[in-house]
Amino acid sequence: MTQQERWFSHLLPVLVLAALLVITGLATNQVRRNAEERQYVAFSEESEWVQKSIAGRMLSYEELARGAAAFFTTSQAVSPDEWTLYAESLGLRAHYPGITGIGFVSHVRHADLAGFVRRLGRPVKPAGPREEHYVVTLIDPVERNAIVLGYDIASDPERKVAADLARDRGDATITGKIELLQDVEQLPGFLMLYPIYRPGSAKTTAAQRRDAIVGWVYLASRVSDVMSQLPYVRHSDLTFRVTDVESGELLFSNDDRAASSGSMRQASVLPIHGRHWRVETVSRRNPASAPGFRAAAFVAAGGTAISALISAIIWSFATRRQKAIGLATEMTRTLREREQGIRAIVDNIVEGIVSLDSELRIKTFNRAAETMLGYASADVVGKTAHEVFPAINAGHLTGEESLLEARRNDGTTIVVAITVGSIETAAPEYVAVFRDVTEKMRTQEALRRSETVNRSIIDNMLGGMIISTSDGVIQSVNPAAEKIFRYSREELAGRPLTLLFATTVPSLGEFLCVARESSMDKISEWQGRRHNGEVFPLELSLFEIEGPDGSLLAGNVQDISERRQVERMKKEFVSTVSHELRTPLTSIQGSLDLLAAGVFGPLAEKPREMIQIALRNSTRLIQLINDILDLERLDSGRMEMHFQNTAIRPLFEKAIQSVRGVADRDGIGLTIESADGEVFADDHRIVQVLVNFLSNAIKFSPPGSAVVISSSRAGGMWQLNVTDRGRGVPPELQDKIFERFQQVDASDSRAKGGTGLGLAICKTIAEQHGGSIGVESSQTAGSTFWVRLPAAVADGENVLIVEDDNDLARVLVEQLASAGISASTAGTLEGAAKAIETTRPRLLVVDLALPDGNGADLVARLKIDPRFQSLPLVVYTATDLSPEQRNALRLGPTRHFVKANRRDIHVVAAVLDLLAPPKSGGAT
Amino acid sequence: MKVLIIDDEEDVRQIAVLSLTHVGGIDVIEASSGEDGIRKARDEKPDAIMLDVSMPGMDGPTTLARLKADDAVASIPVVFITARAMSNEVAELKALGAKGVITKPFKAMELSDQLVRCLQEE
Repeated sequence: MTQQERWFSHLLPVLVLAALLVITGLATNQVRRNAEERQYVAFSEESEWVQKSIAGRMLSYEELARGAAAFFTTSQAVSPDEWTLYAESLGLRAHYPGITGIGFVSHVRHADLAGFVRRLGRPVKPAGPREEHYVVTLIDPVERNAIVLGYDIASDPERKVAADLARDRGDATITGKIELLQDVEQLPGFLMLYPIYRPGSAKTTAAQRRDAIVGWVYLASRVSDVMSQLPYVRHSDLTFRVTDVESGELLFSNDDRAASSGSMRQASVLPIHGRHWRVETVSRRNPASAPGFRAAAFVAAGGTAISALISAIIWSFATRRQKAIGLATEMTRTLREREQGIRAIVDNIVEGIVSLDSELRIKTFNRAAETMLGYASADVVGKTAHEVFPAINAGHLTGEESLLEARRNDGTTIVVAITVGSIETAAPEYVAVFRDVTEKMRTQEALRRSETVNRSIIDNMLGGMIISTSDGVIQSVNPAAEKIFRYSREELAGRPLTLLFATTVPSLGEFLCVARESSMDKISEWQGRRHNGEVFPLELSLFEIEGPDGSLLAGNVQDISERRQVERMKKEFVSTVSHELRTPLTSIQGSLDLLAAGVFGPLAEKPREMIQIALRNSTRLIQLINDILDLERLDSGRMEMHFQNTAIRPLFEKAIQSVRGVADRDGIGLTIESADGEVFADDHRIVQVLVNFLSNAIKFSPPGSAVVISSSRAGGMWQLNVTDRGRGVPPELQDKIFERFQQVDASDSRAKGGTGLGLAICKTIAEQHGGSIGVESSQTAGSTFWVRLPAAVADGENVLIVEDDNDLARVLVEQLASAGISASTAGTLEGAAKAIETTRPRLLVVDLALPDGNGADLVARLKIDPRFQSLPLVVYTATDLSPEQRNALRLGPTRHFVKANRRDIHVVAAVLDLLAPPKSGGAT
Repeated sequence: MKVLIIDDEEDVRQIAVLSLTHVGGIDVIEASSGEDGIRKARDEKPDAIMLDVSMPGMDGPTTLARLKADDAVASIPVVFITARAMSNEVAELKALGAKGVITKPFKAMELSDQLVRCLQEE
């Protein structure tokens, strides 16, 4: 459709509408004008009626006045009673509505006034110097007009002018607007005066009339009374106003509003008895309510409606075509856009999309399919789908996703996940949507293999593995765990972890709490419970793993009952062996001792030498057994150590005493060079070390030389030195000689009678003191063997309080001080570890909750340190401890308690108790 | 002074007897088992008893318990002799009510002195 057509189709109805509206307007106007005309005619007629009524009324008044004048003329002298009778005969009220009163005014010359007043019997009012007096002498009805009797109307110019004019004209004349004396409302009124002349006098000219005048009959009236009594006007829709033309004064109006508004108005001037009244009429009617106007309105409305209807029909006809064309264009555009959109989706979608006809021939092949498979669309369109998907068959046309092999252009194959849906057309057609899942399959396969590997690792692990939810519900276990606990995987799934532990902790939640604290990422020992109820020791370490549905708790479990058994057996074995060896050695040694001592009489030299050899080797054998036992005890931590502050000198003296005999026999001097200092040590064990050093020194010193013993300061430690003049230790062996069964020369053990274990034992002892051991040697100047030991601690600082609450710590220190016990404090784990090392407390008070960690870690560290593992300990916690936790939190004599409100009381009591001298059987 | 020595090992017993008699000048009565020892203790009323810990049948601790349960011999001091040298074992043996513990192998020349020291200890 052209621009012009469109324009025309819009314009045509508008033009038609305009024309019809013009016609309607003209018709309406005509109807209205006709109506107006009709209305105006009616209004004019009514107006004329009003005017005629007014004129008629005034005429009837004139006739009345004329009649009354005739009465006077014929009667000559009229008494008030006669006047009243006459007036009543007139029937004023009935026939002359609007008349207030009818009366007679006498013409009195001023010279005659006195006599007139006398005759009248009442004064003339108002008094005043006037040439002539026109005095009201009669009035009826008297009762309402009495006030006017004696009134000189000549005193009022308005009245006098009218009276004079009436006299001169010889005809009825009215006054201009006056206010009647008797009218209390003071509304506009007028008098109509009719002259009466002396009978028989000439009355042709004005002058003659002036001479002949005797008086006037007059009518008094209020204009409003006259008008309201008009028969027609009372029922008319008209309003009107009457104005005295000569004075311009308003005499009457029956509607002030209508006077200024109103669609129709008419005015005419009526000559009224010597004056002129302008009567202005206004229609009170609403022109629109007039039947003619309603018709016009109907014409207008109907015409407009019909015009609109016709225009609309034309519009509709004119635009329908346009709309149809527009709609078609729009639909075409939408379809094109939609198709473009679909095309864009199909081309840009990552899935391959191929449409197939009913014979499974390829119709379209999208860009993703091209990319995925390496074909150009043009190469495959028209070919059968089997070219691309060799295995495609009816089973794939179900709309369900399936896996299918696709052959790429380069001959390789990929695996696609394909969905083939059918389109319901005349012959079924299909759309195949597919994506390359080769990589995914490969990944899944790899994952599956990796899972299989992991699974088989877990399944073949020697250790048990328990996987539980984070709240302790078992999910699965590996075969090792099944074997350990004698439950099957199925039996355990869904059961609580506590099933597998012989624990006194009441709830699963608390068990988890304790287990996490003691076993998370570290190994701790627990009592396990097998299916048959057997309780056994196990090692547990927990770690968290991220499962698909949140974090899981994994537990590594090791059944250590066998290890415990072996340990027990080893211990028993060592014990047994030592017993079994010692018993025969007792006999051998005893026999030889007695023989060598000559208890049974003196021996010949040769036998005595033999017995000495036997005795020496027997002693060596016993020493070897003792050393093995010592090492075993040191290794297993069963060597009891008793640390205390010890002066070095007595240690030296005791050691020298032990080896004095041997030294003397070998001619070796033993000299203490210096023995200053005090160490924190187990004196028996340190003497053992010194004896070992001295024995070696004596063994390897040349005869006559001296072994020198000394002490020296080495930082916070004291170093105890044993120096010989022997052959020295080669540098490459200086570390090795502290290992087991190592000697400077392999032949030494036989030549010098050592066991090869002595220095290894010394090293272990030194380490368990927190010290060290070593040798400085040159092959010319001999060797110095030394052991470094922690220096003794100052007296007094003998209780360490590990507590981060400073106030509480201070209270505890003060309370202990008052009990004679000095104490120091540490607020952190780190500070506590340092303080323990430097002050060597004889008792430790530990609050578990510390800013930089848990006090339990401190206790665990001390537990493996021989210097502190028997330290008295007071532990207090915020929550109750399980038996397992209590067991872990133990060094020497230990007291546990839960924090109460007054922690200080418990702590001080516990400290005093633990530091009190031991009572019999009071061991904790 | 008269000492009863109860030990199943005849060699050890003999060395102890020789040592105590020849070195310490002590009269010694021998018993080779716990039962034998208890009987001889009742009969002979020795001044002290040396009791081996490890014996087949009735062992040292059981024998000690029997001796202590018998009013006639309960007051006789008992000293254990043992090849088990662990210090905790020594403490345990003492806790059973023994006067002292002498470990094997003992020195034959010092045995009588050791015994006297044990008996004198409070």
